Amino acid sequence: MTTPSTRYAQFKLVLLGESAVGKSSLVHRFVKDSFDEYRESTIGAAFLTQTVNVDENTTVKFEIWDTAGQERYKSLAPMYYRNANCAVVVYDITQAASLDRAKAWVKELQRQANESIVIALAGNKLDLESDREVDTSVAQSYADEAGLLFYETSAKSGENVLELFTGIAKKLPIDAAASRHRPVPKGVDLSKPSPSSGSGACNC
Amino acid sequence: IDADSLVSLMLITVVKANMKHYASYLFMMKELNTTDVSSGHAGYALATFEAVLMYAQAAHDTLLEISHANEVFWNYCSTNFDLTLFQSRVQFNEKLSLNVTSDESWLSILLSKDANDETALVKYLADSRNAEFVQLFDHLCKLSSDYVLNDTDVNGATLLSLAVKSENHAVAFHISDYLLTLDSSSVIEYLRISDKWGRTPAHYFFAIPALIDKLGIFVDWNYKDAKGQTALMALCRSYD
Repeated sequence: MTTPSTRYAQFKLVLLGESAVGKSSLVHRFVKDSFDEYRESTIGAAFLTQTVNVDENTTVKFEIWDTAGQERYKSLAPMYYRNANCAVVVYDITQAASLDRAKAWVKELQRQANESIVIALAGNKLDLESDREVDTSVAQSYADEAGLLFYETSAKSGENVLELFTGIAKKLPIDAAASRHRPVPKGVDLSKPSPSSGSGACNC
Repeated sequence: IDADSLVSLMLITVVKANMKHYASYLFMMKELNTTDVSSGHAGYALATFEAVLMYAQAAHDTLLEISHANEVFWNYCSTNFDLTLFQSRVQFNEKLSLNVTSDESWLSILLSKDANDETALVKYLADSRNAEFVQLFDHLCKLSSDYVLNDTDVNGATLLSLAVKSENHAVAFHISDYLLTLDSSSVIEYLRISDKWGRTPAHYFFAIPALIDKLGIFVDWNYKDAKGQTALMALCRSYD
């Protein structure tokens, strides 16, 4: 139970980006820097959870869904971003083309995902400054225009990785999520005793 | 394992399981469940499953075409030989009455692996079918050296290693001649590839000593196999 002074909420986050932009490393960095009990190892880097403390009384748990990013699997993305509360769209600052791909994903999310989805744009590989092809100002003004959070990150050094996820957490509707009820389960509850069992149930 | 690998693995699993009514199973797992399966591990697993079913449905025709062509190709490889077969995709289609529509698909068939994880090249070599090997080898070399340089058998032995081990002089020299057309760093790198016993092609050169003259300058003679034996030592030991 949450006490009145603490808030806890869980959100689904989808991860989008070409495979070479380092999206897996980014999440690995985010998740690995925390305690082991939060690591879910059964599906490796595809599905992970991690919590961040937004402030003293507020904890947000992310359920992170990796998305198949290969060109041949691009039509499958809706399976993953369905019901997502937030998305991180990753590009590589040393590959100008990867920003174009990221823009296409942002457009798709804004058209087809949850209306209230919080989208963050992450320019990864900040440690490779000398090979930079995408100016910070160019990406920043695109992000402002499209209404996205924007961070330049380095999965390698860890720079801005926690800031990225904390930034998203702050934008999420924590109060609404913390008080929302789980959906009423559909289907048949097999553990429930059958109403016709017991004596005198015969209808004949 | 990231989502891309997971989708590919799930696709193979679904195809190999060869079950009917996948859509119904998915529906039942999603809808007739008392627990919430829209999130968490179960949600992710089901989303992956659903994505794979969608992919298989959308790519149905292409997958069927490639699978059929693969089967015909492998049956052909095991029973016939026809040196004109591998000259072009058009001829490939004509000879085998197929309709492979892209060069990419055609190449993926030529490079496909059998149930033992071996390519047609490796099989030709194992069966000492030199003419077919050379034909396919030359063709793939024209497309990209990567295909033949990265090809290994299930034990990680390169084509050159396999040719030398089986004392197949003709093929060993054919591969060597091709290597000598590449830049020296590629040759050095190729001759450094070791099998699961840590042995490089040079560890087997005792079977065809003439290769020492041909390729010896590119060999790292100090490289040790899993038992600590260098290629030079292997050569000396062969005179025991």
